[in-house]
Amino acid sequence: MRPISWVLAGVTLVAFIAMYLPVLVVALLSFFWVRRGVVQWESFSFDAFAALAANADLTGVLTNSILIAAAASLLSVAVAAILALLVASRMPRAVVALVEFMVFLPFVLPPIVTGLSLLIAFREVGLARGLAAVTVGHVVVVLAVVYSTIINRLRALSPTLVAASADLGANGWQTFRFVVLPQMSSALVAAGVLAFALSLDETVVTLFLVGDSSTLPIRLYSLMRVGISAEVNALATLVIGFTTVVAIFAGRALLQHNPHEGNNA
Amino acid sequence: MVLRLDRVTKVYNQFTVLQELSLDVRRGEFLTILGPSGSGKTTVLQLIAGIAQHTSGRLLFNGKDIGRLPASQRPFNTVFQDYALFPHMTVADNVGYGPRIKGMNRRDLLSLVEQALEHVELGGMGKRYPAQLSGGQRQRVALARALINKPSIVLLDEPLSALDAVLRRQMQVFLKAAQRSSGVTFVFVTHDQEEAVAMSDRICVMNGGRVEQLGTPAQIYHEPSNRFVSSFMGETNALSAIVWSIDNDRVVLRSALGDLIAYKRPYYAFVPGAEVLLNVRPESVQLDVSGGAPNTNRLVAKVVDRAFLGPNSKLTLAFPQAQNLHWDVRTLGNHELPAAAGKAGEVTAWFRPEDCALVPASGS
Repeated sequence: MRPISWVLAGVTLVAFIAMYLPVLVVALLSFFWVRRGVVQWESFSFDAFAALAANADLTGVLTNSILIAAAASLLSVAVAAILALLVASRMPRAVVALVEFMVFLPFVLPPIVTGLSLLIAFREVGLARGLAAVTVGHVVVVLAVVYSTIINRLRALSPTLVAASADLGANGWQTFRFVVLPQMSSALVAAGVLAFALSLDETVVTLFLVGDSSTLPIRLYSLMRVGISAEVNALATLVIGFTTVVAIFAGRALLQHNPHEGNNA
Repeated sequence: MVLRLDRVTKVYNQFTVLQELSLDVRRGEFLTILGPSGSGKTTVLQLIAGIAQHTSGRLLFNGKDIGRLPASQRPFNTVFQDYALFPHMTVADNVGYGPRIKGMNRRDLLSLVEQALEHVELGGMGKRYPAQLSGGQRQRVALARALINKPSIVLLDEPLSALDAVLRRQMQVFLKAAQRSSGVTFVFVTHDQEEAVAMSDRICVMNGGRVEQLGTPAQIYHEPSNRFVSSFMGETNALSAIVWSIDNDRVVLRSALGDLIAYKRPYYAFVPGAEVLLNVRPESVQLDVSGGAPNTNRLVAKVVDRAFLGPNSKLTLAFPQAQNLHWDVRTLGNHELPAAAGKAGEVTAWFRPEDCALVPASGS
C-alpha cells in the first residue's frame, strides 16, 4: 500500500475504535465484573440479565418504549405512505413543495423546539402528557425519514407500470393493490424499521411530552444521578443486540428491494 | 373502419402537440404511424389508449365517441416501449393480469395463459420472472399480455427500439405473423422507416403534429406527396426544377442539369412555372455501361466517391453544371468503376421518367 493508504486505514481504524469500543465495554460489563480497570474473566455470569428481568421498573419503561416505537412506526408509515402517494400522483408542484417542506421541517428543527411546540399545542387541544402524546411526538419527528424512504421508491417506480395496469383494465384501487403496493412494500418495511429504531432512543422531544410516565432513554438518563448498575449494562447490551439485528434487516430490505427486478428496461 | 380520429387537437403546456389530426384505422390492418421524435406519433397512440386526453376533436370507435372513457374501459391494449412488465409478477401472472382483473376464475385463467404463451412461443416459461428473460422474450410476453384480452386494437409504442438489429428483424417478422394470425388491428408507432415499410399495410407519416401522408408503403416510398415525406422515407436524390410544360403523361422540367422529363401522376396539381423538387431514389439511377441509354434524362457526371456496402455499392456523383450537388447511385455488387467511365472518371447516368417523383419545392 502507498503511504496515503496507510494513513487512511489508520484513521478509519481509530474512528471505528472510537465508535465501537464503548459499545463493546458496555457489552463486556454486562457479563463480567471489572475491578480497577481489569476485567475479571472468571466472573462470567448472566446475573445482570437476571437482575434486569427482576427489575419491574426497568422492564416497565422498556415495554413503554417498545409500545411507543411500534405505534409510532405504524402510524408514521401509514401517514407517510398516504402523503407520498398523494405527492407521487399528479399534484401541482407548489402543493408538493409545501407538503415536503412541512414533512421535513421538524427533522431540521432543533428537537428542543419541536418538543416545546408540541407540548404547548397538545395542551391547547387537550391531549394530556403521557405515552399517547409521546407517540404522536415521535411520529412528527420520524415522519421525514419515513416519508423520504417511501417517496424515493415511488419516484423510482416506472410510470408506465401504472399506465399498463390501467390499460389492462384495472381501476385505481386494483392498480394500487396489485402493482404499486407490491413495488413499495419493502420500502414500507424498511421505513417502519427505521422509524422504530429512531423512536426507541428519542429523548429530547420525549422529555417534554412524557409527563409522569417514562421511557427507556428517560429512565437511563435519570439513573445517571444514582450510578449505573449492572442490570443497566445488561439492558444496554440487549438494546444494542436488538438494534444491530434490526439495522441489518432494514438495510437488506432497502438494498435488495426486489429480488426479481433486473434491468427491465 | 373501426377507429376514427376526427380533427383531434392536443395541447400540452401551451404547446400544440397535435393539430386537428384526422385519421381512420381500418379493421384488421397493420397501420404504422411513422415520424421523427417530437412529431406527435406517440401522443396519437396515448390518446387512443386513453393514457392521455385530447384537448378537442372526437375519437370515434365504431361510430361511438370514446374520447372520455378511461383507459381501463377501452377495448384496446398497449405494448409499451419499455414493455412495462410487472417485475414482481411471474410471466404467467403478467399475461393473465387483464383477465384476472376482470374476474376470470383460476382454472380458465391458467389454460388461457398457457395458450397465450404458446401463441408467442413461450410455452412453459410462465413461472419465470421478467428479469430472467431476454429482450425479445419480454417483448413477446408484453404482446401476449395485450392479445389475451382480445382487444379490437393492439397499440404498439416503438416496441422494437430497445432490441439489437438481428433480433429486431426477427421480431418484425414475428409481430407481422402474430397480427395476421390473430386478425387484430395493430397500430404501430416507430421512427424507423425501414421497419414501417417492412411491416405495414398502411403508413401514416407524421411531422410536427400533423399527418404528412397516409398510404401503402409503396405509395409512401414511390409517390411522396411532399418534401418531408420524400426526404424522410429513405435516401433520395433531390434536384430543384421548374415545371416548363405539361402534356398528357409527361412533365417537362427545367433544371441546373438541363431539361428533364418526369412521368405525370394523377394527383399532381402543378402548373407551368411551379417550383418543384425532383426526387430520384439511388437505386433508380442507372449508369450507362454499354452506351444504349435513352436520350431523355441523361446526366453527365463524375464519380467522386464510392463505397462497397456488401450486396451493392454506393457511388457518389458530382455534376459539372451544378456545384455542391451530389447524387448517390446504387450499383449491384461490383463497386469497381463501371466500364462506362470515360476519361477522368466521367460517367453517363440516367433515370426513367416513371422512376422519379415531384413534390412542391415549398412547404414541409
